[in-house]
Amino acid sequence: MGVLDLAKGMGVTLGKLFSKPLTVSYPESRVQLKPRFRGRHVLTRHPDTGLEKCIGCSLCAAACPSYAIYVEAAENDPAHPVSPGERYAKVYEINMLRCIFCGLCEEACPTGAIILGNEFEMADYRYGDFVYGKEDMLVGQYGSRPQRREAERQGTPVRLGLSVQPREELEGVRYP
Amino acid sequence: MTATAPRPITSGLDPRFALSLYAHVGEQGSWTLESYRARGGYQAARRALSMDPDRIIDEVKASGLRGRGGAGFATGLKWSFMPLKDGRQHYLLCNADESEPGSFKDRYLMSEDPHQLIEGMLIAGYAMRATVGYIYIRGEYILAAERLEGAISEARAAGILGSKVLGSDFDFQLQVHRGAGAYICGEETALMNSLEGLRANPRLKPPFPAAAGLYGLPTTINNVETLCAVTHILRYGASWHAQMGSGKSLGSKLYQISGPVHRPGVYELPMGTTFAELIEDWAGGPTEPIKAIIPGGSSCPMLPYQQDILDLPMDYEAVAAKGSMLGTGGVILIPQNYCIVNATWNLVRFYAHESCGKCTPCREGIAGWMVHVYEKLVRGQGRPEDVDLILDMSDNIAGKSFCALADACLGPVQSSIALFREEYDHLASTGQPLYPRQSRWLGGGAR
Amino acid sequence: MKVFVDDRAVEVPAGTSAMDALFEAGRDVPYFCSLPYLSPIGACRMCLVEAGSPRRGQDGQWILDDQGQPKIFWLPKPMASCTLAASEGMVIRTQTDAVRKAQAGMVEFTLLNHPLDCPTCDKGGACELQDRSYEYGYGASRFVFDRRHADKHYPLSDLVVLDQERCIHCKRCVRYFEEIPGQEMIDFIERGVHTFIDGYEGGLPSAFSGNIVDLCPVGALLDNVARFRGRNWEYDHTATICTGCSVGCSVTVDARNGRVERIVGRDHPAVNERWICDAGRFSHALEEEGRLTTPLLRRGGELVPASFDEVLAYLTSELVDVPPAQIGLYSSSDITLEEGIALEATAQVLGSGHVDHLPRFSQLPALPRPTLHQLAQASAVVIAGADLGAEAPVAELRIQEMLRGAAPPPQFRHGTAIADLKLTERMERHPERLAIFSSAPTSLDRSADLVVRGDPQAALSAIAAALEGNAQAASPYLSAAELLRRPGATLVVGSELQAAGGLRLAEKVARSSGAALLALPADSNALGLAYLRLVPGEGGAAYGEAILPVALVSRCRRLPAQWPRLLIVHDTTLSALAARADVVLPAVSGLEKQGTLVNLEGRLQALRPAASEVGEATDLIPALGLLLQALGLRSPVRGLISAQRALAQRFGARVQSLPPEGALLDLGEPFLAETHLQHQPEVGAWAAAHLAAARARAAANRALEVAK
Repeated sequence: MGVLDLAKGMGVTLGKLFSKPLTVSYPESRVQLKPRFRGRHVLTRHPDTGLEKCIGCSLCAAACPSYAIYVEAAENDPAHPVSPGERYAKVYEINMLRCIFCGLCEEACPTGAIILGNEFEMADYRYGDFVYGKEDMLVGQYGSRPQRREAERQGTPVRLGLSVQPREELEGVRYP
Repeated sequence: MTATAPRPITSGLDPRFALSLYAHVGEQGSWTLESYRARGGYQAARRALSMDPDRIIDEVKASGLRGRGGAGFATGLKWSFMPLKDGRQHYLLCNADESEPGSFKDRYLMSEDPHQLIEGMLIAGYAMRATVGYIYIRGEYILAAERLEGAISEARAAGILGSKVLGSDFDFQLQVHRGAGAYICGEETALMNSLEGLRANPRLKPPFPAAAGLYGLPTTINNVETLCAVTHILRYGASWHAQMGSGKSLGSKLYQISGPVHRPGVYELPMGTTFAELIEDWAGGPTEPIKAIIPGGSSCPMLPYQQDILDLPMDYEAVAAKGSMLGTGGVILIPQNYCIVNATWNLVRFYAHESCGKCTPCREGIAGWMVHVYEKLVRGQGRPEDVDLILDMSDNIAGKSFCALADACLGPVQSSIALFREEYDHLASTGQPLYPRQSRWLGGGAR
Repeated sequence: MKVFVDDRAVEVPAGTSAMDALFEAGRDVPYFCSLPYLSPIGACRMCLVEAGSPRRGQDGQWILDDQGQPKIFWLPKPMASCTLAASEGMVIRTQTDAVRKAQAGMVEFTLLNHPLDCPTCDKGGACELQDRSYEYGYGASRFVFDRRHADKHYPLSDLVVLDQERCIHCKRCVRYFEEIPGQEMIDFIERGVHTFIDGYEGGLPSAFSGNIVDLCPVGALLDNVARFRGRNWEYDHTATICTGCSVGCSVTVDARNGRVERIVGRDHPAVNERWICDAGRFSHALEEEGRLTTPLLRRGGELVPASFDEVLAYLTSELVDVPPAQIGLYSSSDITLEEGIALEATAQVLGSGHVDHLPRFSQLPALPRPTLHQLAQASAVVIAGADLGAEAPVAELRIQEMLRGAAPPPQFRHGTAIADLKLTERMERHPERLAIFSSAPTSLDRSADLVVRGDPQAALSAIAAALEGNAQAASPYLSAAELLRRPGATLVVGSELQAAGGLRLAEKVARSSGAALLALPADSNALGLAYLRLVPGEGGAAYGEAILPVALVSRCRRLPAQWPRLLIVHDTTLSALAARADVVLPAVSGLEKQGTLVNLEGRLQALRPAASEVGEATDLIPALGLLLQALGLRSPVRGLISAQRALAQRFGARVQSLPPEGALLDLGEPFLAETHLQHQPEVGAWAAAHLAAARARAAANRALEVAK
């Protein structure tokens, strides 16, 4: 290794001194995520009818390597269906502490109902609060439980610490 | 055959040939008992009733009569399968559910000369110790059924049916049962189910009807023409019957011809008559160029319309040697300028409509799929690979279905593709038929 | 005879179908329409194989080929192996390309019109069509047209729902109703590709309708009680015994999240074959209603939840002055042998003769009991004073089997014969082999030629007289006597003959006619408990016969004539009896306990607990332990293991290691005593209660939805 190599290395160091820093001062500023970042799950709806895509088939639960998903199905009332067809998910729960965000549930889903979204700020205080139900994950619901609790307390809209390009599968999701 | 034996009669033009089955069809009032008696009716039955029943079976065996319903199984042999001396109730069924497209011989036998059939059933019933007979007649044959019922009541009044038939010790009850419109009822076991009031699905064989048939009792089922032929065998003798025909196919047979010929219809000819004689001499020749011939009702594979086929004697073995079947003898001619795919679709649609739904290949393969592929082709929406798809589908159906209905549908399908592949390929790749004459099903088109 | 399957030779009895021969050889073919105990019909055409047989020449010798081996004459077409009889020397090929293509093509046909809604289908994961498509199919379909559309939600009854699109027309359900219970309920309508299943209006009026759910190879017929309750892989399956009646049918109990969701039949060739009754299948939902999960203690007139410690303290203080010999112990007759021997030991420790189990009958015939298998093979059956539909429903199916007169299907290495060629559709039944004498209509009346309404005991007396030659000519009793005299006849008696003398009369008739005698026990383990000392001892009182200071009553629904001063009830729900108790201990149901039961033929069968969440509920042994602990006493039987040890000492058999099919054991001499409590069996009466409960539940759910 000669002097020339040393100079080369120092050149890189010096060059970085004058380039724009990559560090984001999160949470004051939002972190820019790649669109395919796998965060908190979203349960999507059919955009035309507004019916839930989830049919309660439990295949996500079967595919889940960490046994984080629990589904309980029930029969649709034909007059007021929750989802197209006969069956819908009466209970849909994901334990976010167990979830490893691998995305296998998304792959297993036959209707494209469960998509891993981009939210990741879910830190909370009690074990029970990490079990997210349908009301926490259906499309249109933004923010994790603690974020929504905080927003309600302050009377402000939920503020997410992320910004991301919209993704096609995440039908109807527009992160604020 | 020795040199001194007379040459068998194998042509309707042979001066020794005389009509028997259809001798009186078309005469005014031929269906009455009076007319039938006047021409010597019920002499054969009287003769039979004086004979030992087993001798009748021997005589039918000696006559070489084979089933005229399509399969050509030796009638005498079939009768001898009955457990003759078991003391149980035996049944004789007459299969008059003539539903195969191209076959229309039995309806005139029944409407014009019903006593001939009644006499044949009487003889067959006596031979097989069957005291109850049923005629299962196609529901659409209204005139035939009415004439048959009239003839039965006439015969009953005259002591020909009922107890102590013709003064003998033999009892014979005969009933007409009208079908409700299902081709599958022509299948013998489905016919028995239908007669019992069950769903007309074919039954598992074995047990064969002779062991466990109608109501689980020994049963023999014969075609109308077969039973009528029995009358004449008993009247004129087995040797009279055996002098007609070629090879193992003996007797005279009713051939039907339909399609573009001058005189379509039913012709009684000795077995072994050539196709050329039927088409040219009797039916007056085709009215337009012909490309294919279906030799024996729609389920038989098509044969090309060419000299070696025309010179073929119409008997069971000769036609089988060419890869088709004599079937019921219902010859159908298909004109040169008619789209073969369309013609075959017509037949496939028939079989799809008539599939009983019992077994998978027929229900799903033919009724659920093949008919749609044909429709797609004929409507000009086919793809080139659809022809191979039909062939592969046919291969998956062939020989794998429960009864013969699926194979019957494959007869015209496989043979038409084998013979006229270029018509299929042309239609599949261009969407236009090579011969653009359309069926009326598609609403006209160029004629 | 020897049959060659691919490269393997296998020895099978004559009359075996090619399908069973090839399964016996360890090969596999797909099949949808065949099913053990049903007739093979060859409808699905999936089980195609190539087969050929050698033939004998005129001289009776095998026709040989060039190599001097018997020449194989191959059948021209692939054959459906279910309807093909194997013959000596037959060669079956299951692995050729032609066979594979035929099977794959047939899978493609079967799937043509089958909707791909597996994710919402309750059969998904346990579906024969799914499995066979993976194993034998092409993996893709070339079908580009619209599938057939039909009614996807067509309730055949309140319990069974039909999806007409999913039906693959295997005809199993149609054949089942005609062949097994002998009640034709449903059939195919229309023809060709439009064929669909339909039945009468007004449901499926059969006590065995649920079996069609088990046998449907796809998700066309589904259990409406378990509808959408879970996927098949999510259930915890427990192979156990139904405790609904004394037949002891083998069942699989499927639970999810600690809740029993459904019960399906399990093959036991000697007992229930593979059928169970609707009461055993669907009434679990009724059992789940209002389950007790903690002890209750009466405080200030109210029953309030309490801990076991509080109960113990309460009992300790209450029982101070009570002489142990004055404590009554009463239990229902569906407890296990283990619970029974604990009860017996407790009574001995207490020195109490006030012990009994109910329902039970006063006597037990001293004749060898016929097995259900022998019942199904009987030459004739005379039923006196029993409605099998209410007492032992599945025994009714075995009698239907007797009426069909076919030998039971043979057993192979792969289990019961899948395609038994002896069975055919619409087999002739022999109603002349069955006679019924009862005071009320019974479910088997429709199948018997001889049905006599009236006092069955009087009828038995008349039959006994007829057997001695004192009968008028052509009386029904003479006909019955003649039936009983046939070698291999069986006399079945039930609850109507429980009054004193009834069973002794039946025994006399059986002895003088030479018929076997099957006396139906009063409950699922009433026969086994008869071999334990669980009847009132010296000076002991039967249930409700005397006013006792204290009584522990386990799972009895009958109210006593005399109430004890302190009532301890051990029950699954707050029954009318429990509502008046001072202490209520939560009990487990028959589906949730471990132990041994003895069925009506004397077969010991193991009960295994389903994976259901029962809170603090226990079986009877800890409840008895609690009572003893409150008295400061100690029983030699304090748990399952010591109970099993005691049973081994008593009966000389290790009940914890019974074979899967159970064991017919000699249990020695029974302990009998007269009972004055009349028992009315009601297995068949569950449906009305169940449906009312289900409707009420549905109405409550709707009200809840509206309120939301």
